[in-house]
Amino acid sequence: MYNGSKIIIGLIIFLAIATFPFYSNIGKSAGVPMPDTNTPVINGLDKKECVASAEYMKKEHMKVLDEWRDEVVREGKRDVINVGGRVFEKSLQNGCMQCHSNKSRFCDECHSYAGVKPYCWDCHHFKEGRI
Amino acid sequence: MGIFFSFFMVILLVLIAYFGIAAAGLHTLFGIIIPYAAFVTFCIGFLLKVIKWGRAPVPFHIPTTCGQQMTLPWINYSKLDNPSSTSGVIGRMILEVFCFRSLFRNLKTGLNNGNISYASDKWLWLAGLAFHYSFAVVLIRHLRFFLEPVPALINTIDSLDGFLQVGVPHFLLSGGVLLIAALYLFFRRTSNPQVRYISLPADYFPLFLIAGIALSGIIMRYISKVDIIKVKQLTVSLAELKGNAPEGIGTIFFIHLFLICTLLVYFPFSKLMHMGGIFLSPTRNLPNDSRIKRHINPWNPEVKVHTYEAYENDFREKMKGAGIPVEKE
Amino acid sequence: MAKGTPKPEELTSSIDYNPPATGWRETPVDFKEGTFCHGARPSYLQDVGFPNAREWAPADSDWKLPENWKEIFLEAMGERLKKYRSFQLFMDICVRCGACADKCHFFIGTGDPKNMPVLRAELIRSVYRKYFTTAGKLLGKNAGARELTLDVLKELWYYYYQCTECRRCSVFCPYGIDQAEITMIVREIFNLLGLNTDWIAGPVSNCYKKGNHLGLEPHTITSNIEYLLDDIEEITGIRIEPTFNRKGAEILFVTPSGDLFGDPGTYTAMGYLMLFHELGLDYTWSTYASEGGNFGFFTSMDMAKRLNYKKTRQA
Repeated sequence: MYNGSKIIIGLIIFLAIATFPFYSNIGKSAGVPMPDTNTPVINGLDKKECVASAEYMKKEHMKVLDEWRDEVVREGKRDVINVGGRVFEKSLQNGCMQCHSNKSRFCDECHSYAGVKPYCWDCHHFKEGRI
Repeated sequence: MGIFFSFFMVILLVLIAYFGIAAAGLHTLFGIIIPYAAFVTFCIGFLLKVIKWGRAPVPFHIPTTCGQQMTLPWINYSKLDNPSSTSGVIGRMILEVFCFRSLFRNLKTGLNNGNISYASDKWLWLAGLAFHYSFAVVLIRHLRFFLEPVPALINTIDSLDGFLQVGVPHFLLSGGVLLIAALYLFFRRTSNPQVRYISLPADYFPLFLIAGIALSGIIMRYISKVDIIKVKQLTVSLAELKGNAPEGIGTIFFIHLFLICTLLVYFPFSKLMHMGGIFLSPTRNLPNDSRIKRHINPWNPEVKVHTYEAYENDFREKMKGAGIPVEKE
Repeated sequence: MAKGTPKPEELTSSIDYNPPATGWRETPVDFKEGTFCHGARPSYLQDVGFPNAREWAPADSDWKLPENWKEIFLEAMGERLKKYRSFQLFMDICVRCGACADKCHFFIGTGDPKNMPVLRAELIRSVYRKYFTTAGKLLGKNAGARELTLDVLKELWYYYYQCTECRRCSVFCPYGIDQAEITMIVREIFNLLGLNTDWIAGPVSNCYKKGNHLGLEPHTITSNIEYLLDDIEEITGIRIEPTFNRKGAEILFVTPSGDLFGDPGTYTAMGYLMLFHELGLDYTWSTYASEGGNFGFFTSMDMAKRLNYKKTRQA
């Protein structure tokens, strides 16, 4: 093969880039994220229900929060939601975080796994462990 | 027409993936086996193709030069367009690969009442650059599905890509630019009469395929939504060579994945190999130093030549008559 | 020859850069009078030992090719794909971006779409796909492949002798695909079938036998230069005495032979005769190696090597 050394070097660089996900995972075994619903408030509930089902919330919780934000902040509709007798405020901190007060073991579990950084936390202050 | 054939092929691929999952439930086939097979085909195919090119020698140094050659020290010479050394070649190649230099000088020719005129035509350059760079950014972003924990750099790219902060999940520009650039290139291929005349089905197919990949990704992320945690579990298990496909991932993901696998398999057998070929092109990667160094053709053939003796035999009388010195009287 | 020179308006009004309605595979070649060069006469080919020397005319339907012309062509093509990385690469790499399309002056001047470098390359690339790629063999037309028929061969000949190997297309191609390289290689293959043009084979044969493409024999060269020296003496009063084929000279001067024959080259020749005289250079002319340009490039690499030999040998 002509210019063999340069071509081989080039091909090695190509393979190094292409197979990067494989060799960078050697010896590692990534765990599956387990969002933790073990908070004092949740533990004290008789019916452990959220605004919507877990399946729905997994896919659409961002949309729910986005819609709540638009309704509350831009349209001023601060009415509360009634689901199965329980009253929820349309708010991240005063609604969701009332029950899910453990951000690092709940929200961040899946967010850091998926490499997602919602910009909510840029503004909304959060103190771990607040009831 | 080539356009319909390629379009039909891409639709067929989408339908295969759709029915394979929705009707037949072949998650392992579409989620594990086909991706592995496709990736291996891609890597080996790429290697073999480049080696095939490497086996052929470069008999003559034929760089395309567009500027002044290096001659006397007081004449400015074109270091990039007429490189005389390796450093010039490297500069030229870097600009070619990262900035698409040759496309930047593109012109369009027109007839203006019988006068031939040239105008600058940089749209192809812009579209090509946008397409390739957005594709690169998309590929790098997708590494978040194969690496755990996700490196900080990828998260940074994600925030930069979504700096507009519109939509939930926030809209990532690279995906949009990729789709728009692919559609523009398709539009150009059909609306420019000369390019349309020369286009083959193999020219439309990758465009439709990549547009399909971008579109299915956009639909998956912003419209139909999938359980991204389960998706990452699948991709990480692929990267760790464990191959566990969890249940409950939406069909749109498998369509997206299957189109990507098709692209990987199609790549080594098509014009997309220009990715490797550009580095081997003898008209770009050689310095113009034939006057400085003697290059011998590796397969230097023996040729029949007309020797001076034979020449003189033909013309000796006439040469003597004209007073030109001759070897043999 | 031309029946009266056309006016610029006539020429430009007939140019249309829009391609015809029929696809390029379905548009046959029209060997119109004045659009192609005559076939090489047998004596030129015999001088340099090229095969199949015979009288033939491109406008005839019978080109008097050997029976197995297709095998010869494909075998030669396969051989060259392995010997020239450029050829192999350029067949695979083109993405049909069209940047080169309106850059060839033959396309600009005629509007004939097969003169677009991308299409000119596609003429041979479609043959390459059919016989040298798996996709082409399996998918045929859908992969952009086509069979090498006699019509295809004639089309290749017609367009590959319309390329002047100026390499402008390579400047604009993102990968530097060089139509000149492809043209040289295809013409090499044509020479194996004896398909050359008079306009090229003549100078090649002349370069080979007489040392310069015009076919100036040694005494003609000296007498032409004598005339130039007479003119110089008339104007300046100085008689320059150049030498010919002198051994032991420091410099061997080789110039394009057109300078000894016609305007404006003769003025250039007079110019450097006077310059060398003023500088006092110890130089000599050669009648054996009297051609500055290497006409071999228009035929084949081998030819180029054979002609180059003369210059190096003489030195």
